[in-house]
Amino acid sequence: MESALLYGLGGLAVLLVLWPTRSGANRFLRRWGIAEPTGQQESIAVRYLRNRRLLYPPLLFLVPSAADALAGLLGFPPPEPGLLQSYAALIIALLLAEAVAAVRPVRGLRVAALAPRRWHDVVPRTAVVILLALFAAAALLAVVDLLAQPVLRRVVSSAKGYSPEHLDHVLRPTAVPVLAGVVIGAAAVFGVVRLAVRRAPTGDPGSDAVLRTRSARVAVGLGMAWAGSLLTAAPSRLLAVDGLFDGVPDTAPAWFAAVPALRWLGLLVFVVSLGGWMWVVNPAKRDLPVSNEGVR
Amino acid sequence: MTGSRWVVVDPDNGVPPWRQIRDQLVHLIRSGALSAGTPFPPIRQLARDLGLSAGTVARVYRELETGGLLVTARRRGTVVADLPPHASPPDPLADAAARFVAEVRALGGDEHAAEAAVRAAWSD
Repeated sequence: MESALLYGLGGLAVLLVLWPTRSGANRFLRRWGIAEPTGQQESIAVRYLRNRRLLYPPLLFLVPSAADALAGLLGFPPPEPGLLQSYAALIIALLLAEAVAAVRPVRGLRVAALAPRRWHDVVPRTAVVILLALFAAAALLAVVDLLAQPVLRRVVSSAKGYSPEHLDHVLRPTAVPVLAGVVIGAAAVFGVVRLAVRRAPTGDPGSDAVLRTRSARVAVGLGMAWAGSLLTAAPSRLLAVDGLFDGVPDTAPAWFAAVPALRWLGLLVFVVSLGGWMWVVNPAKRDLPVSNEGVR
Repeated sequence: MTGSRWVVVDPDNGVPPWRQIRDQLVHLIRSGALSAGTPFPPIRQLARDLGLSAGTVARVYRELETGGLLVTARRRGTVVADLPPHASPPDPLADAAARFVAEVRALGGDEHAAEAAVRAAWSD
């Protein structure tokens, strides 16, 4: 509860610092490819940003409690507060805001672009491939951890000089929470991308294309960070068991000698996911949809 | 989506939405703003974006297909047809009028407002 409150207050601070203004919206639109934003485009961008950022404090407050409840339901101890919960709150904020925009009825003048709109129009295929690879790798490591459970029990039982409580803690399984994280994360990210493609337009074709692109790219970027964190967490039990011994224990199979290399994998994955996140949310001008298109 | 054109529907101007869409699409195709082979959005996407039923948009597409302005192929979807030279007689005045009507609709004006604006501009 304490950490949830802290997260909520953090979200409130973020909201105050990032409260959308017209000048901020102007800079935001320029960054996302509109050279000379109009007043209408600024208003649309302010509304877009406000609808998402207003969700940060309540979600940052609720996600840790929801994570604790989910862990309890699955029979696991509550997860440590960390980056994963912040990413989850941000992705859910995006998802909720896009879902609300998708069900909001179109009123007044209706403007629609005369071009097919597909997922690869709003997010690069390469980014989606990287994201899928990160999710697949996290799932694979989780499955390896699951399959290795009997072996790990045998190896841990031969460890000397540790209390039974510590060994129980080391043996705490990580695979199921990681697999749940992969499924929930993938559903949320691809849900945002799908809604960004399908939701009702904003009424201004130029800013509409930009905001769809922004939503999809930010979701995929957060997804990369999320998947990277899962990938770092997935081998934690294997690494913890390895940490109980100097060298490879006699009770361990031959493949156990490769476990220390997973530490480097964690570092590599961290760099790849962080780099991928930065790349996908900071697109080059040539990759952006516009323009100064607008209905004047 | 770069460089895409758009269509505007004003539910309050008294003209049925399908006619508003049809007139704008005919203008965009005949004026060459949408060249042969330009892909059109799927019916459901355009209907969703305009807050209309899929049947309304399907009716427009059907009419334009019958008029030889659009073709639908299984793999390419609906695209602008190759227009024979006689299908697009140059008529700069009609083009200017269509552009003006589209602008008026975009601004939320109706036929009377447009007529008053033309009269006022003409007498200047």
